[in-house]
Amino acid sequence: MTEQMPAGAGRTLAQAREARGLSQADVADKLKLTSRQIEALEADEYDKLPAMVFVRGFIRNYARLVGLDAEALVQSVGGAGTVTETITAPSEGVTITRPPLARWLVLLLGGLGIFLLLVALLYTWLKRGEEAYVEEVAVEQPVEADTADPLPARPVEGSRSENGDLVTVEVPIPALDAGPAPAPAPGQATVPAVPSPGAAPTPAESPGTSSNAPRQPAGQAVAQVRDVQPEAPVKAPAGKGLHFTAGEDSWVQVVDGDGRRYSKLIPAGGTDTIAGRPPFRIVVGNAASVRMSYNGQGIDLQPFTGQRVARLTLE
Amino acid sequence: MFGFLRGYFSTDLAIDLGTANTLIYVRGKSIVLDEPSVVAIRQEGPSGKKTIQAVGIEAKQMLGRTPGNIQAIRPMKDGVIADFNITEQMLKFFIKKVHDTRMFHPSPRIIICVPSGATQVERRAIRESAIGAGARQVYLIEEPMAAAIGAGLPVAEATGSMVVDIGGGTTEVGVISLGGVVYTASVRVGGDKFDESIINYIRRNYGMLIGESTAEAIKKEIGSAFPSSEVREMEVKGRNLAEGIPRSFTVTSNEILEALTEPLNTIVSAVKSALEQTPPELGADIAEKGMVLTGGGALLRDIDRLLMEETGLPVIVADDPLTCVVRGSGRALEEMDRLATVFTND
Repeated sequence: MTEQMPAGAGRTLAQAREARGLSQADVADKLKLTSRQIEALEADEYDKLPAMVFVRGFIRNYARLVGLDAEALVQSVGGAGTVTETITAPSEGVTITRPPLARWLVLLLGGLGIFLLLVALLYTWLKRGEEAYVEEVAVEQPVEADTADPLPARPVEGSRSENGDLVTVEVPIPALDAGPAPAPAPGQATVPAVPSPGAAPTPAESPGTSSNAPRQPAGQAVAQVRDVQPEAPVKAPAGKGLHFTAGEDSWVQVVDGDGRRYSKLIPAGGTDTIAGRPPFRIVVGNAASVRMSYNGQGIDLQPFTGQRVARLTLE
Repeated sequence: MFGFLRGYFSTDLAIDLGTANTLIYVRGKSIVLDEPSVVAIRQEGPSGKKTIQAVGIEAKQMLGRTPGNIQAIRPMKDGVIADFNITEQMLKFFIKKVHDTRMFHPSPRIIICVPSGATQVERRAIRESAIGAGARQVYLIEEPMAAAIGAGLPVAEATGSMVVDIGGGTTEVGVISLGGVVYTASVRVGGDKFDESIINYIRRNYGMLIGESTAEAIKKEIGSAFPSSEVREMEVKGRNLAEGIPRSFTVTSNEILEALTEPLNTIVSAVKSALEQTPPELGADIAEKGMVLTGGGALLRDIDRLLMEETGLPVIVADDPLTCVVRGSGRALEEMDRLATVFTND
């Protein structure tokens, strides 16, 4: 403590006191201090005195008594400056410009942004996954149906003609509705089951001409379907399986007895046929415009239709 | 509900809610606000709603100069709340002023000073008004403790320190040792009483009426607490009671000394009674070091001489006495966890 004081303060006070003709005892009496304390003050021996806050006060009082500039002396003793610096002017315009809070704000907003980004990514990922699932089902279904059920012939009824006027749909063969389909007679049915888009009338005509089923071996038919319309789903023989005809855009979802799932969008005017083992759990969207038949028997969706969706189980 | 969140957007404050001035210390900064505790209220229409016209310095300039529909109010009296709602509004204004953020309402933790003589009801009122002004949490600290910390006294040591805080409304005398208050007394005499005494003295002796601001100016200019060889004069303007016309006249420092004798005697007797009640060991410490004056009253000329002569003990004036209390509260705020004992529990 002593070393940081310039030796001046005590000496200056002592000189001023002597100049005024005062003794240390006089000063001690006036300041209500002891002579010992005055001696210590004049000798700059601050460690013999109480804490610095008191020493500064004593020096201030002493300086005032002997007519010196108190503040200059207190400054020379040091320490006081740190305290007086904290005084500020009246608060005009004094505001905390950038408290550390701004950092929090940045963190908060940044965190929020990252969170939103993650949510968006998750959403797109999930959505893509769903689409992939639907596509997968649509593509693999023919193969599955082919291998799982090779025996019955699988003539294809050219239902997916894009010309829209699907006469084939209208020729289900009621006789086939019982039991497994009879073995196909290869070569018997010469009518090409799958219409080329350009030659839509041909299949439309052919079922009309040969009433006992235009059929082809399944493998062949499927292959043809794939060649022409790779995206075409499972095709059931005309008049067999579930058959849908949509007046407007609609969709169907069918789960058959083996737990296989078919999801299809049917465009306006389109048809679709799904083979499988009963029981079928069927959900039909926009049901009012869809006609459904099973093995040629028309099924009225009306009783099963809720708002727009029909749900039923077909045994 | 979002208090903890809003806490991030608020800085902790120490407030010296004084009768004359309100000072605010911001944690990690320093004193950022020092304004008079005055609120000017405008009333629209005879029974219209009241709106706040000005707070602080601006309002103080209106004090005693307002037209009929504006009222300049000092909501604090004798160190405690006299008008609860106005105090709350004033605090709200000041708290908002020291917060720059616009997005959230500030919700700071606040340390606020109370006179040691404040009753439970008065303490409650101060706490409630701070909460009403948006504080998340309010801690109360007794003024003598805050003043002692602010003056730099060794409060935590096993040695007695005596502090006399002469504020606007109250004078607090405290003896402190080991971080606790050993003795404390509060008399409701302070700068306001000095002004009042000057007003009364001039009315009695000169037949002149002066306002509070003029009285305060006289006190600052030529007021003193101890006779000195140097006599100073000041020209004052006021209204002559007999004629009803403004006149100017001259008062001297000796007259003001005479006017101040009564309130000063109250302070001296409070100090003496504190010394009587102090345990002898601490009394010895005080005799060695003396007592420390803080608060605006410590700036009254020769008030330390007066106390020195009356008690025979050394008396020193703290560095920057006006801000001691708020600086002390500020240090308590900075070291909240370590200095937990200095807060009062109620």
